[in-house]
Amino acid sequence: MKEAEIFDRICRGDESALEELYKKNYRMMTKMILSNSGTEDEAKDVYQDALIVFWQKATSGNLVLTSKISTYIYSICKNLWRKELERKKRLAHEQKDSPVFMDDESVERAQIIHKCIGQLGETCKKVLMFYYFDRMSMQEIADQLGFANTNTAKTKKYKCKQKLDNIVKSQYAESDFLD
Amino acid sequence: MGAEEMQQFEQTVTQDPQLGKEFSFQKEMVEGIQAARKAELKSMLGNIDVSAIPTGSEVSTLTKALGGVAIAGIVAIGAYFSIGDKQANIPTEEVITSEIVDQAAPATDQSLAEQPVVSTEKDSAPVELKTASTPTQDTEQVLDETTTGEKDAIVISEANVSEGFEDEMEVSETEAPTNHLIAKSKVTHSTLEVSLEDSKKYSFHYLVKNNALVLYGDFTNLYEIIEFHKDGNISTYLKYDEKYYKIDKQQPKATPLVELTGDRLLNLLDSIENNKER
Repeated sequence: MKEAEIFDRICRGDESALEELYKKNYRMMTKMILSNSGTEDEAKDVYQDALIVFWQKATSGNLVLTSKISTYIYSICKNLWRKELERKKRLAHEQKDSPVFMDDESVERAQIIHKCIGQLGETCKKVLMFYYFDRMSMQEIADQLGFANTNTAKTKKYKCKQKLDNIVKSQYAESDFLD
Repeated sequence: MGAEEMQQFEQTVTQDPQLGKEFSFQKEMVEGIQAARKAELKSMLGNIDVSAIPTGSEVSTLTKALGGVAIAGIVAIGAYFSIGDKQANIPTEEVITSEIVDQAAPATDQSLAEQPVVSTEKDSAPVELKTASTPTQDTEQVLDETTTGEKDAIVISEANVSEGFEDEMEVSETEAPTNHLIAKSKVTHSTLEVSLEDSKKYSFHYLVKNNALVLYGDFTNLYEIIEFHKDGNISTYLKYDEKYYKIDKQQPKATPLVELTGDRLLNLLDSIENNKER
């Protein structure tokens, strides 16, 4: 498949194109990390993160590619891995000096929200994810999910968001959540 | 929102606790949705079977193995032809290497009979050309001084060399068009390690440090190191792009490579290398 075609499909939110891209560049990207003191799992993880960053930019419509897709993703991988190495180094020093402080509350809140999202219907989940993560336009969301028009998509998104807010707020006391 | 509007909004959020709480809540909701989507995509990618795709390490190992096989093949072919040549008893053998005593040979009969032993790194095919560091002025001077009209005298000399060549080499007739006698040489391997470095400061320089020669510049073509040995002394030359350069190992810092211009030395080097005369 030609690169322009892959890119076009990804911009339109075609996840199968992302899968193809993943397989196509897997060896090159993981090799870079493996040869820079990374393990196989770390390489896979970083590569997936990089692809997701690329996906998010592409679907938002804000990405203008001036190089090959692999070149772009490679640079993302490199940056992510460099940050990871710096983080590891930092952590290693911090552990020597003092105990690491973990924000349990925020972690707990994130887990609650994640659980509540799972309770939404599939369409609601998709609408919210496409809007807040993929940054798709209402037209694109309507096309993807088969809505009649953008107004339908807009209304659906509003209602799904309200529903999620209510689930989160109702399942836990407001004081627990909003300190 | 423009920068001004953003600033105003942030101020309002700070001043209104209720609005601040709602803002934090919505922020966490959006982050939660984003995290869920990211997890979903990661899960989708994680489920893709990559076992059939060779990893970088496997490919690297494979590449190395193939490279090793290729090198072994080339060495085997080279050895085969080398052995074949010896067995055929070729009377005239092109001198590839000879140890050349880097002493100014007086143009005597003795020097005619004695040939310097030159060791080159030509056999390491695509490798570096070592370049001579100093111009041949000194060498030329010695050559001139030592000439006794014996055109056949081969003088490979450093400025302070005065001895003749040692009788180390078998002398054999070669195809050299000149009267220079070129010794049949034995192939020796230089101990000088060579490396190439890009440098913004040095465009065509060299430096010898700890028996390692560093060449600075754009050495994209084949190069060759030629060493002349005598009495433990070694004269080193670099051949690059059909030009010769003297390498002075005593230079303490990066030194420009200067082309040798002395005809006699160049002729000798050429004849040793290619049996041709400038």
